[in-house]
Amino acid sequence: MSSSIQTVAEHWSLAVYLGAVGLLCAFMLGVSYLLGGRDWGRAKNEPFESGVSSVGGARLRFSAKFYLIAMFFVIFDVEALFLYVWAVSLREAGWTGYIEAVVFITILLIGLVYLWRIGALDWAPESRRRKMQASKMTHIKEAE
Amino acid sequence: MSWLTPEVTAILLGVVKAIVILLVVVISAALLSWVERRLLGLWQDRYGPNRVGPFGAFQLGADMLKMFFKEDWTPPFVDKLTFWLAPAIAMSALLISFAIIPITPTWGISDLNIGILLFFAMAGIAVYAVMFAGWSSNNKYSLLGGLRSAAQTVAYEVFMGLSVMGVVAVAGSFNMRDIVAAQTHVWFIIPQFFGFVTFAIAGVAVAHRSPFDYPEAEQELAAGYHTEYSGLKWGMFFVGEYVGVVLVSALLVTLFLGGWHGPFLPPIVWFLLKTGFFIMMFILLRAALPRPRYDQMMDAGWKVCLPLTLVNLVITGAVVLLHSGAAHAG
Repeated sequence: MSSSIQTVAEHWSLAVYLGAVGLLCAFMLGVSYLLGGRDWGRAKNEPFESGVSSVGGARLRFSAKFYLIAMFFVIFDVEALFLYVWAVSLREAGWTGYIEAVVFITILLIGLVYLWRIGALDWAPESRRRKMQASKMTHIKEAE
Repeated sequence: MSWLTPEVTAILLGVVKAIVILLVVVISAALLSWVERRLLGLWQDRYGPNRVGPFGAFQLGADMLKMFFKEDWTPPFVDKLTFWLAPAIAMSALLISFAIIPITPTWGISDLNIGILLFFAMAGIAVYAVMFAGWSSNNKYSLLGGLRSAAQTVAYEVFMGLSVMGVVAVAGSFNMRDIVAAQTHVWFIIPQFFGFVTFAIAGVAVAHRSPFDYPEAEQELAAGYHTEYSGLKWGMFFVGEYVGVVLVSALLVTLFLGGWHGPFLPPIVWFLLKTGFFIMMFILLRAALPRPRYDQMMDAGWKVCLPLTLVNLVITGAVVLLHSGAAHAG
């Protein structure tokens, strides 16, 4: 009985906590809208780009690297979810489950090494890396 | 007083505790803005804010009053809905995660059995705050900051979950009270040292603190994703960052340093001492370390920390199974 009272009380406190967080955010957004001053300026309607006049919009094309990272995240994080379930049921799953998890993690690591080897994790473009490699070689030759 | 049944009393007590915890967290997060400036001043051989009140202690009040009366400017070129939504998410996402933190045996908001998973969910939602702010501002610096931050947070969240799974495997539960109870004899920082190191790194990255503060690297991006924000909306991003610092410190204490456990002193004092220690470490990190290059940061995440957490999990699983097998045999 006392544990059920405890559970009910905890649900109430969680609900009130969530509500209070929401209210706090609404209050902070609302109070500055009400109290804040109003002013007018000539350059106020332009985006702030450190004093340089803005050219073109901010809907730009971006390096594909960012999208690659997003894809890797989906691949690895979804696979990590299976490991969450395994970790919490480790003792129930026993050695059979352990061997399966090791096989799974090995495949995950092989996938990571593959991505590494094909250069998917390198941030700099390949041309720049080759240039750096070449300059390193000439330095070594000069040293010799 | 016929309506004051034991049930109502328990509910009222729980609700009051929840409100007190919320207020303490928000106020201490706001107060950190003064603590951080004073400490940075100390470490950089200058004063820091020292004009308002003794040692500048009332600086927070002055800052708040100033921000209340600042113009709440919504530029005409922004996307209104996401522009208003972003600060609310930034502030609330990590604040909600405090619901799972057990502060003392009797204090804590809710003893959820999904426990730590709620924090991972909220950390995932917190990415939207920076993404929305960066995209809706319609400003090139903001967009760059938002994209950088999304890539960084996503790369570090992959192994943040895995780094805690060693702890979950040893404790056998996601529930935070069970995890604390499993640390009565040995704190998890000793058997799960690599888990602790990787979680601490990921925690700094998720809270966008220096040296992982790429989203708002002020030397390159003006102010990053919140360049176009002003007044209390900007203040919400600011408080949200400090809430992240307090939250990650509290999580480190709960998961790896035994929560409220400790000799002689009462539980609440131990919890506050340990959390305070990690908050100081956050500030010291900012004072001591330069910002690494972006590709170095990404390399460290994918090529060092992710394999490390996977190997750590494999070894932890073997040790736990060997141990429980030996216990059965004996």
